[in-house]
Amino acid sequence: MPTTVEQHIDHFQEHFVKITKEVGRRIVGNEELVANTVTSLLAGGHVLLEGIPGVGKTSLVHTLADVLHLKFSRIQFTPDLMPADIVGTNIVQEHAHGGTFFDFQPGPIFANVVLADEINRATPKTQSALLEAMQEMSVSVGKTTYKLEQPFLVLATQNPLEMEGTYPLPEAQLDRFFFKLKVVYPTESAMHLILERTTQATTDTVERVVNAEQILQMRHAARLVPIAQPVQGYAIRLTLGSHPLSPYATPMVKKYVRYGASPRAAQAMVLAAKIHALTQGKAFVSPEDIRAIALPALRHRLLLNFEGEAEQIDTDLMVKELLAGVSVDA
Amino acid sequence: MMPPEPSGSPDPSLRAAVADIDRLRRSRAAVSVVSTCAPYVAGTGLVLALASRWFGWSWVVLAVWLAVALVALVAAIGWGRRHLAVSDAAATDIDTRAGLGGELHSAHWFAAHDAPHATGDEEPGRWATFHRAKAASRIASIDWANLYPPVRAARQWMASGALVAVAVIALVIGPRSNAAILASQGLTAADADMAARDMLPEDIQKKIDELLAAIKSGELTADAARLKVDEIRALLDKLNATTAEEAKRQAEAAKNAQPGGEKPNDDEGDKLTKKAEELADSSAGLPEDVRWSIDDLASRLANSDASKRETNKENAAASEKTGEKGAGSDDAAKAEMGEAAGMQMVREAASDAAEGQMMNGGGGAMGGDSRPGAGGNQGGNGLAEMAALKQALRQEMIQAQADLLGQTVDTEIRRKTEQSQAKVGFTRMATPTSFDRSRAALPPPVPEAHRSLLQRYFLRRQ
Repeated sequence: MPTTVEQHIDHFQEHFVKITKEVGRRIVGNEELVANTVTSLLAGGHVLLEGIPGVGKTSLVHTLADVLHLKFSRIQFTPDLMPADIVGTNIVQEHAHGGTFFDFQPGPIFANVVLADEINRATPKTQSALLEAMQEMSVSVGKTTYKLEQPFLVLATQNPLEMEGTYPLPEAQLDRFFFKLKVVYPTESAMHLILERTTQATTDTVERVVNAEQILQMRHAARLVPIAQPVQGYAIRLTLGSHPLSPYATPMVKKYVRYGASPRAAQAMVLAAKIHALTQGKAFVSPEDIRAIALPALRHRLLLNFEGEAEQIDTDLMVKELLAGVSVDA
Repeated sequence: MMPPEPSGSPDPSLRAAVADIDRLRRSRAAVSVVSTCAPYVAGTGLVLALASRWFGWSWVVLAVWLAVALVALVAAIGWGRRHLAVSDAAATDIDTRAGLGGELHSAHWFAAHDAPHATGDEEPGRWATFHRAKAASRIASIDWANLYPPVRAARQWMASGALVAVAVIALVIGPRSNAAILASQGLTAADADMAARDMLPEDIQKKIDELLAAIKSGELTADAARLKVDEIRALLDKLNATTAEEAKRQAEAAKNAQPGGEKPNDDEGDKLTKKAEELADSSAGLPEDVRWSIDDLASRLANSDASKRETNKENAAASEKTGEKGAGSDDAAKAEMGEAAGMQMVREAASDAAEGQMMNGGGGAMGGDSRPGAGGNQGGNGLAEMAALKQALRQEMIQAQADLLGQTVDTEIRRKTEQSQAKVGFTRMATPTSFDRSRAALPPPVPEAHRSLLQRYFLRRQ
C-alpha cells in the first residue's frame, strides 16, 4: 500500500504499464486504444467502441477482463432483447416448507466488465435499461435497487457501416460514455503479428496483473492529482468552445454544431488528464494532458445540425480545430 | 520593488524564483528590441543631420534628437527589467522555453494558491506540496542565464555608432542649400534677388517680373506663359548675341589693324554651294515638296554667292580706280552687316533646338531667302551656319524617308486614303417560308412487335 505521493505515482505508473503491456500481448497495435480503455476504467467511466467488424473490439474487451481479474459478462444486443434480459428479473420460487416467494435472478449487468456487443441493434427501450446502471451504478427491479459491484465498466461496441435495422444511440445515452474510441484497421505489420498469433497451434495466454482492489486504489490516486486553475480553465474553454454561440467557438463549430458538449465532457477531460499525467509520472496536470485526451472525450458529445448531418461532417475534425483554435492562456 | 505576495501564498520562494526568471527574460527581450531599433534611430539622426545642414537648422536639433533617442532606449531597457507580478502567460512562456512540460506553469499557480478543497496535511495538499517542491528543484537545476543568453548585437551597436558619427560629420561638412549659405553669411533671399536684378537690363527684368506676376495671379494660360517665356529667352539670347558681336567686332578690328591680315576665303563658299547642290541631287526619290524645298535652297545659296562675289569684285575695282570708298564699299559693309544679322538669326533659331535648325536650313518653300545675309561669303561663320544647314537637311531627309515608310501620322492618313481598298461585304438573308402542311410526312408506323410494349408503358404510367 503506497503511502507517499511518490509511491502513489510509481504504483500507478507500474500497474498501468502492466495492464497495457499484458493486453498488448493479445491485441496487436492499437496501443492508444488500449491505453484509453484502461484510462476509462481507472476513471470509472464507460467506453463506446466503434469500428468495422473483425478489427478486434470484442477481443479487446475479453482480454481486458482476463487481465484485470474481474467478473466479465457479455450481452449480445438484438432487436428482440428485453430490458429484463439485461438487468435480471424476479422469479417465483417455492419454499421447501411450502409457499412461494419472488427471488431476484440478476442479469448479465451484474459483473465488473460488461460487454454490450452491437449496442445499436437493440431497441431504445432495452438500450435505456443500461442508463441507470451506467450512471448510478445500480439497478432497480420492482421496488428494490441493487448496487453494482465496483469496479463496473460497460464496454459497448457498434458498427458504423451497417445502419439498417439499427437504433442509433440517443444523445443522452451517448453522453454517458466517458470515451468514444474508434478501432482502426490494423497496419500491414500489425496484420503479420495478428496472423502469427492467431493461426498457430499455441495461443497466447494473458496473466491477471491487477485485481479489483488495486484498481480502486488507482482510481483514488488519480483523483488526488492537483490541477491548476489555468489548466482547468483550458478544459472548460474547450468544452464551451464546442457550443456554436460561445466566444471560443471555431468556424466549423459555428457552422455545423447544433448543441455542444455537456459539463460531463469537462469532467471527463479533467479526470482523464489526471490519469494521463500519472501515466507520465507527473504529479500535476498540464495542458498537454488535456490535449492528449480531448478527442475521445469530445467527439461523441457534439450534436450536429442539419447541415452537418447532410455534409457528413466528422466531429474529429471539429475537435482538432478546437484544439488548434482555443488558447491555453485565458 | 517586488510585488506583494498574495495573502496565504504557500510558497513565496518559488514565486520569487519564477519572478527573477521572468525579469531576466523581459530584460533580454528589451535589449533585443532596443538593439534592433538602435540602427534605425541612428539612421533617422543621420537624415536629421543632413536636413539640418541643408536647411541651415541649428545643430541643437540633432543633439536633442540623439539625447531623446538615447533616453528612450535606456528607458526601454529599464522598463523591461522592472519588477512585475508573473502572469500565467509569462509562466507558460518560460515553461515552454525551458521545456518543463507545464510543470513550472502549474507549480507557479500552486505557489500562489492552495490546492482546492485541501490544506495542510490532507492528501490533495500533500500532492500540491510535492508538486511545488519537485518543480522548485527542477527550476533550480536549470541554467537560466544560458537559456536566456545575453543579446549579441555587436553589429547593430557598431552600425548605430557609425551612423551617429556620420551624422555628426554630415552636420559639419554636408551639402548646403543657397538659402542656408546666404543665411550663414548674414544675407537674406531678398538681398540675393537684388544682386541678380542688377545684372539684367531693365526691360528684360521688367518682362520677367510681369510674367511672374501674371503666372502667380493665374491670368496666363499655359500656352501663353510658354510663349512669354520663349520671348524672354529670345531677348536673353539676343543680349548674349549682342555681347558676342561686340567682342567679335573688337577682334576683327584688331585683326584688320594688323598689316598681314588674311582676307576671307571665297573657296569655302564655293564648297558649301557645291554641297547644297549635291544634296539637292541626292534628294531624288523624296516627296515632291521636300525635293522642291531642297532645290530651292540650293539655287538660292548659289545665286546669292555668285551675285555677292560679282558686286565685291566691281566695288573693289572702282575703289582702286577712284581711290575713294564708293557703292562697292557700302555693299561690302552691308554684306558684313548681313553676316552679323545672319549670325543673330542662327542663334535665335538655335534656341529652339530642332525646329530652329529646320528654319535655318530652309526647310520650307517660303524660308529659303528670307534671312538677310544668308548664303553670303561669310568665311568661318558661314561654315558654322552651313553645318547647321547640313544637319537640318539631314534631319529633313530622315523625316522624308520616314514619310516614305508611312511612319508619320499625317502621311499615313494620306496613304490610307490613296492606297487602301475598302471591302464591303453583304450578307444575304432568305425570307422565312411559311409551313406547308401538305408537305408534312406522317410519322413512321409503330412496329407490331413493339405495339404491346408501348401500350403497357402508357397504361402503367396512367
